Amino acid sequence: MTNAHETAGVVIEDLNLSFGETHVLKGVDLSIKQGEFFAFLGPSGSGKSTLLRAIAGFGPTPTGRILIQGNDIADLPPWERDVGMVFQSYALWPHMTVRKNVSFGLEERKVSKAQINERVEKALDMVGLMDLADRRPSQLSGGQQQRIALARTIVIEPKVLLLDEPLSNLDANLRIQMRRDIRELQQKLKLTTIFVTHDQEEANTTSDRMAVLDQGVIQQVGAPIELYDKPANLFVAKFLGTANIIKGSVITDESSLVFRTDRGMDIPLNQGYSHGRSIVFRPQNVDVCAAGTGVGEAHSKLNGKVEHMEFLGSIIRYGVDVNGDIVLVDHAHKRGESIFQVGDSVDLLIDRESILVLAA
Amino acid sequence: MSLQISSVQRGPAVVGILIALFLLTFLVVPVGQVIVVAFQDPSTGEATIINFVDFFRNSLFRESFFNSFYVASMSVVIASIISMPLAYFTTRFNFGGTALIQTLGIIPLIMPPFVGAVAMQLLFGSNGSVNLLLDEYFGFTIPFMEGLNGVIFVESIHYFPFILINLSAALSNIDRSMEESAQNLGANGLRLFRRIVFPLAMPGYVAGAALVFIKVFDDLGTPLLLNVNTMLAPQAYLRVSSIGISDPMGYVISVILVGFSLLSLWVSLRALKGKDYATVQKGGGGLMKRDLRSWEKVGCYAVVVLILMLVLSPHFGLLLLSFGTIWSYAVLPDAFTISHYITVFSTATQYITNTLLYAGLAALFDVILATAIAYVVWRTDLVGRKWLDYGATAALAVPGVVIGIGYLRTFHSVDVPLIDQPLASWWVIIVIAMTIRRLPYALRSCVAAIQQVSVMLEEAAENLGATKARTVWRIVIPLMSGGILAGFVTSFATAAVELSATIMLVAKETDAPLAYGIYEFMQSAAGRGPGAALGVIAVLFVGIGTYASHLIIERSNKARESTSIVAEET
Repeated sequence: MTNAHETAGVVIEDLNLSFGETHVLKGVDLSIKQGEFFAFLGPSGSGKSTLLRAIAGFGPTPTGRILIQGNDIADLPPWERDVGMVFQSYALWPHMTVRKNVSFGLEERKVSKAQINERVEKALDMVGLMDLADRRPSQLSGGQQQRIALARTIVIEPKVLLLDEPLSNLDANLRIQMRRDIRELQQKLKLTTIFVTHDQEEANTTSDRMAVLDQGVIQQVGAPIELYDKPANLFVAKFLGTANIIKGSVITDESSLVFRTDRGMDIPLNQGYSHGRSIVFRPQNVDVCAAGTGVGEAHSKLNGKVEHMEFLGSIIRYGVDVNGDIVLVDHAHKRGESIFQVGDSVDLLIDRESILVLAA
Repeated sequence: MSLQISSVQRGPAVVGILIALFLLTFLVVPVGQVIVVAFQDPSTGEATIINFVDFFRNSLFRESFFNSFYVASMSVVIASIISMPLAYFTTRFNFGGTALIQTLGIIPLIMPPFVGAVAMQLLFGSNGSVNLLLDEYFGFTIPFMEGLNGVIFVESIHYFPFILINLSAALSNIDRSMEESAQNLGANGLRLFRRIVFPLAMPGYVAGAALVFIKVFDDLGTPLLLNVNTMLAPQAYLRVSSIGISDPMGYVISVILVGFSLLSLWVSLRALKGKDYATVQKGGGGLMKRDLRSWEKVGCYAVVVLILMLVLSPHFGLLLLSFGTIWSYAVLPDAFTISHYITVFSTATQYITNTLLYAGLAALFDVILATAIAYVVWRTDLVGRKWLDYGATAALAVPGVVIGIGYLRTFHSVDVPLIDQPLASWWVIIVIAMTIRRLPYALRSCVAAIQQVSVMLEEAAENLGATKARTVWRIVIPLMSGGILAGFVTSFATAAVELSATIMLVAKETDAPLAYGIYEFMQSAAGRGPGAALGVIAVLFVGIGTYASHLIIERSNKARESTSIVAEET
């Protein structure tokens, strides 16, 4: 146990936290590797920001342990924790120049004047805003403020960098640029980083691993692709992209494995377990073709009627009524190809390998 | 874990307890003392209401009580008559004189009413300029300044801005959609006014009127200077200063004054509570305004100019008096001179230096206390922290006379070590009285300032290694500085002309501040000139102070606008 802690950047053990009567974090256990870029992903109210603030020492006092490089910091006040946090709205001090903002943390650490100047220059250089050192925060654009907030935090060389929805106040184009820059900076500094977001695209593109939170409980931890392809439960499946979820039960006999939906349809499976209560598959793993098409072993076939159709540019998304369940199908759009109309009878071919059986 | 919390909270807790002790010693105990004595039999010390029975048996006190009530009520009526057309003009018409009216709302407040009282007598008294002219050209006079009329006249000219400001705010907060939807549903003209505009504007008016009532009801300086002694506050002062602090009548009057203060504040708060009729919606704004026809415009300007002349008359009279040689039975002084100013600067500079010292110290203590209270209340979770706010604000409900009597009673037997003198007659007690009385103003200013500081800015500092104390010093106080400075200036300017508590606490001439000096000079006919000169100096103090605090607030609002853009995006 102790060995693992020494190599881990951040370890959280059985963390519980309440706002008055409301239990916000429920027994959170987590281990983040040294130098890892880790995302907390969840809808609003899931407790992700609360968890981040608990690591920084803000908000109600939690029970449990928070270890950073092996040391329990749960009892330390915020100013002794050495975790740098970038706030959602940047929290730059309006009465100080950019340079003053960035040197603040070093001044509080009683670093020598010469050292401060050198490190501030380096930090500002790293975010590319050397020329703005003598401006006030109010004279900067949102993106520039974001960079200054980042510089102000990394200049103290914290043990962990905490980012609280850092991109949410930027416009769409800047967001993409900024998330690349943050990732690049993190790689350069090899800084253990925790990134809070409600946007799965942000989490997917930046992080090595992520934790999906809902209602104060960690639902699943893993690499983005792993979570997308192998969601541990319905919440993760739904939260990470669009998913078709059909309720029913698994029926096994000696020769075959079949999922019988609550509406009485049979869908052959390749793998599964007897107590499975629902199947999940993504729209892009289903193909749609005219009724009566033959089917091989690799696919399960369902027959239905087109209920609605949305043209999304690169794909056409069909909603197909299969015996009362609406199944979403993404069909790659190619020019000249014929398009099914609402009311057409169609066959759906589901890639059997991609069908996931879940207990709930 | 709990140990950690307590060490973080220890600093604020100590500060909170010290402030609580200060408020207890210099506000709660003296006022409590006054109330206890009022309900005590003077000889046996038993609890009784006999003092109140005695009070109402005495015809002089009954008359004083009635007069105070009458003067305060009539002042509300006159102040309303002055305010209503002004508020109406600015909110209903596209009227060029709006800026003029806004100025009208500030001018009276920069001069305490007692300062102008004597000058008003010379302008409007039975042998004053106006009546001399009226008599000469029209053969009649108007008793503006006869007895209670004088008090009502001076007070309503001074306090009408409270009604004007509140009423204008209430009217301009009514969205035009309110009016349009009523019209759309068939209401029009007077019915529309009675059923929609009037009810929506009512809370603002009542709040302003209650303030005017209580300010007039409590005022000591104006009746004293106009030599009207048959009112409650002057009676309390005269009883204590002539018979002494053992006479129960001063205390009975104090309890009545406090009772009415509380009642008025309650009415004012009740009027506004839950009726925050800010109906202005996005893109809307104010009632429908219409253009004036030219003859209407003339009429409006005539009314505004008339009121402006009335409002400026104390200032104008004071200036004339301070530069005039002899001014009696004449429209204007016989000749002009600067000798009164020379007199003031050669013999009465101690009033000015005392005032600078006292008001400066009081304002300094006020902002220190107010900043600390604001921080403890809004940034810690200490048990009972709200009571600091309530306690400091409660000073609003305590008239100066009551503070004065309470201090005399409580501290006359408390000797100050080293200087061997009772605390009640040491000059520092004047500073403390000013501090307590002006603390609510500084507190509101500081509370507004701290509410504008995002907690996140403090968390960012703590995150980067600053302790709570360092965060307060480097982030909170600098960001609050506009509000703190505005609080200082307001406290200073208003403390500089504080009379009602000061007049009782001045133990010797050399300790007296400006307001007391003006009062002393104005007592004799020969002293009026120098008294007026001192008055002009006082007006300059307050005027410059008010303007400075206005500038500071404007500036920090602007600075805030640029920063709040960042904060709002959350």
